[in-house]
Amino acid sequence: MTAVEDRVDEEPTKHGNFFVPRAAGIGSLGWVGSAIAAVGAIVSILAVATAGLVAMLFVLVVTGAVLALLLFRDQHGRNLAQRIGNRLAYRHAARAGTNRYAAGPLSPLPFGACTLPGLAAQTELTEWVDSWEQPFVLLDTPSTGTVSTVWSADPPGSQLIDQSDLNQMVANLGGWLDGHTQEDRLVGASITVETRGDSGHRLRAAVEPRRAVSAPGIAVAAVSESLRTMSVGGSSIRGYATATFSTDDPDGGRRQTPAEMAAELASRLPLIGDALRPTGAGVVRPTTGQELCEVIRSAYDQEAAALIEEAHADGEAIPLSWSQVGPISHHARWREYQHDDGLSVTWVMSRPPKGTITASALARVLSPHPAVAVKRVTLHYRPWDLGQAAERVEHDVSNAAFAVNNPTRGRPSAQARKQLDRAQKTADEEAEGAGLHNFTVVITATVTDPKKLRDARAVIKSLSKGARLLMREAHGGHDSAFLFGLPLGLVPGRHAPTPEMLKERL
Amino acid sequence: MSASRVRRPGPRGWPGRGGGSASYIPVPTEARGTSVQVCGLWPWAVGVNLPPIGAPIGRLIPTGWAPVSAGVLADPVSWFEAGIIRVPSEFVLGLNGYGKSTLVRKQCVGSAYFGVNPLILGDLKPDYVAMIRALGGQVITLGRGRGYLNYLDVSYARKAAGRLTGAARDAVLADAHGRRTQLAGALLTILRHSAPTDQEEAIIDRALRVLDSRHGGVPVNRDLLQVIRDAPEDVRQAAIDRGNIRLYQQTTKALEASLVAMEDSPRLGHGMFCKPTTEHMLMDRPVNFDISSVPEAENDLAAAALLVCWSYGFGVINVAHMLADAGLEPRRNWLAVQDELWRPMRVGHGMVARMDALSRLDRSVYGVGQIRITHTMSDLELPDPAETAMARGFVERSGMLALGPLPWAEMVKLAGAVRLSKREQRLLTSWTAPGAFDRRTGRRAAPPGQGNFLFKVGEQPGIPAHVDLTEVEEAFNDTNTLWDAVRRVAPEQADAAAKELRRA
Repeated sequence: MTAVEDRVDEEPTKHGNFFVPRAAGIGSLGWVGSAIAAVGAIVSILAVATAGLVAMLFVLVVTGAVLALLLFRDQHGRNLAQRIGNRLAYRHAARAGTNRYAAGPLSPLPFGACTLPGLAAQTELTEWVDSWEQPFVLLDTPSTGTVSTVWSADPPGSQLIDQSDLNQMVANLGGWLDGHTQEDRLVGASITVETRGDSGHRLRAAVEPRRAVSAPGIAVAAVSESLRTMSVGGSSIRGYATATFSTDDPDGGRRQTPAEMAAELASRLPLIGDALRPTGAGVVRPTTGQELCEVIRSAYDQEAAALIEEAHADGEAIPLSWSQVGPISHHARWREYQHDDGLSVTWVMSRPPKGTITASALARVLSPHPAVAVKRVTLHYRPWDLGQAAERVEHDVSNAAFAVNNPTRGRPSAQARKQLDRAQKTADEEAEGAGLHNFTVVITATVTDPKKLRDARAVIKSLSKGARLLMREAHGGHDSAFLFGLPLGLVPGRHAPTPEMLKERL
Repeated sequence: MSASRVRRPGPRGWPGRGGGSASYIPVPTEARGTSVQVCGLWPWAVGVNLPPIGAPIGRLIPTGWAPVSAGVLADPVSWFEAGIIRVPSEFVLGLNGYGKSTLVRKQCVGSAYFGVNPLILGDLKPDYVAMIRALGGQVITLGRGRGYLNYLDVSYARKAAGRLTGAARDAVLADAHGRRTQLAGALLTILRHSAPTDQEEAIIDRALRVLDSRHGGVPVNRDLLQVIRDAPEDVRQAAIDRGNIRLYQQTTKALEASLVAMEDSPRLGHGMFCKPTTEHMLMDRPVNFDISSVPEAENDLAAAALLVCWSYGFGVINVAHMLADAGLEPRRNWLAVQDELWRPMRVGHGMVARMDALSRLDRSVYGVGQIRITHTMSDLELPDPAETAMARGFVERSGMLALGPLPWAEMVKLAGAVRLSKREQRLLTSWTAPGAFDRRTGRRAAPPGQGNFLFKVGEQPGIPAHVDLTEVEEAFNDTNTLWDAVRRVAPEQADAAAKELRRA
């Protein structure tokens, strides 16, 4: 039997070649940098001609300062201007008190609600039914002109699955991503994996209600003890996927209402959700409004999370509405985010894994860890429109070729040549039909005990290093980063203060 | 600000102090890649997806890339009710000494908690006596000088038939008659080491019918023998003696000899199944047929004892089900355990078919689960290929499998009955490693794979679990002690213990 005789398993497929965009220019200056340098040089010459040496020196110093702000990048690729801007924005918020959130009955907010703060404050939840008779939700975010929907997944894990099957599942994920490029007006998608310590409620909920009246005493004793010991140190893992669509009318008319979007998406969403199953997501269902409210509330408030689970264990559900899912109070400090009884730190990706990785790369980051009460890893994807993708890819190739053909030091550096190879590989894959995607990673760790925060930080740092991801803490913006980590369908790439085009040229 | 105007949050949130608006938005750096590369950051590498119903077994065994701990619940009746398996039956395979009976005991106790009574149809070691006693059940001891089970006893069916009418009544009586003839044939097969001829089976069939019409009470083997010797007309017709009594006597000579041997032969326990039943099975509590008095080496007697217990047990289950259908009795749930399946199979000569017939549940019966236990698939390899196929059918048609540590040779044999991934195969064989030698105690430690089982349903990836024993269960879980020496836990004490635990 071939299944047994060939004991050698298939090799895991290798992936990599992730491109972090950086434009060409004079040396490491980029186009804008080069332009500033050029302008500075011209102005200094004019200054020396008109106003004298001192003026020229002054202009040179100013140009130098501006260039320094733009040039000196730290390990995360952020230049001085960005870091200073970060600090200033935070200081301003701290002074103005806007980094605190006071909701609930005693707050100045209307209706005594606990809506989501910050970027998600405008979101509204509506529930609809899709063409497969499943209820689904639409989160409408008018500020970004998008609606998003959420699915729940129950990943079974990859424990005893052969590598050949795993490779197939990974390839299927690529297929799911490809599907995004075909979807009309889909601007972003995300996958979130949340791990929590298991309180044992679920286990008890599964067993205790089925106890027979006639059960012998020793059976009751044995089962009760079993349940207790089995719950210790257990953990639960839940997965979510979101898809975000633009509400802009392609013909240039007014934006579509959630009702109109729902009507259009009702037949498309089941297929997107269904296509997620063979990627190893397990059973995929659209999340209902109640479920989503529970997820978000549990993310902000651990005590509420315990109450919600206990209610489920008793076979009930605490009805929640969208205006209640936010925290009652939050304080976004520089280094951490305090929300109700939780303290969270969120990391955002600075650099993807270099070189090649296999599908197990994220395994350790995704696994539950005893030092971190709640951990959420979110992968965000933004598909490129097919036509623009082809252009972009060609542009990358020509940029890389420029660097190789116009070297600063005689011979092209090995790095420049590698860059060209990689760009060429991407172009080949794109030509063969693969879609192009921007992606990023957001990791949130939540603890309830301030003393555990340091351990949690260290754990996440080392886990992400193990995954070869370079992550940076979202200093001064933890509240927004926390939202990026939730399965809300927010697309981080669309919240960039500078247009992407400009960012690449700096 | 006028109170009539409703404030709405801005794109960055509620403005002002205490509004929680976003000041700095930390946009993560985006990288770019084609879909065939980006999928390499696979988010589903870790997960826990266990059936949320069943008897508590123990913890999930961490395998794969990352350790995830969770509690495993598994038993055939619960999983059938939840729709996880198609048939409420479980087949347990595993080498000796690795904890098969511990797993089954765990599932029995859990099932008792859910109101499903464990029904141990033949306890040879004994493995389950202490447990059934602890659950407040009935232990029927069989053996020379201890207790007898009449193989012709279908009194439970007669009583039920008396209360039923019409088609149900006929069905009960037909089932009972079929059972008796099958069992008689099976016992003859064991005695002779060859199957009875179809003529002999016809003779027995007719003789039994005559016996029913004549005999007032419950007939025993001697009565059957007498009927055959009396040579009534119906029986003579089956013998096709064409009016020649000598031919009849010649035809039934071998049968008579066998029936006499059933009474006397040590191979069938000196008439253990020919005396009136000493203790009848109670239907409202766990039951254990303790046949541990059968020496281990006497496979024939053990096989016979098992078959008699199966026939009785399943007969009672079917009858109870029909009574419940008619609304005459409450619905009863059982978990029937058939241990050491290999013993009757080894007899051969059509025994597999008889096993199947005697332990078959009526298709309409529900609330009854089955657990069948044997060592390895090699047990199911019999001289006759047709029998082997039938035996493998037991495994293939089971709703779920519980695979304990198994050697490499088994993997090939299992491949036909269940789809195991290479990783699962490696896992099962890795569990067979022997325990390390402990210099301090001078003994071998328990094998690391002991208590590990892989629950397999169809094509889905298996669930590896380690059986965890609680303190309460340890009292009846030491298979090396004679059941006499084990402390018995009275039900009232256990109730108090349960209350204590719940308060803790």
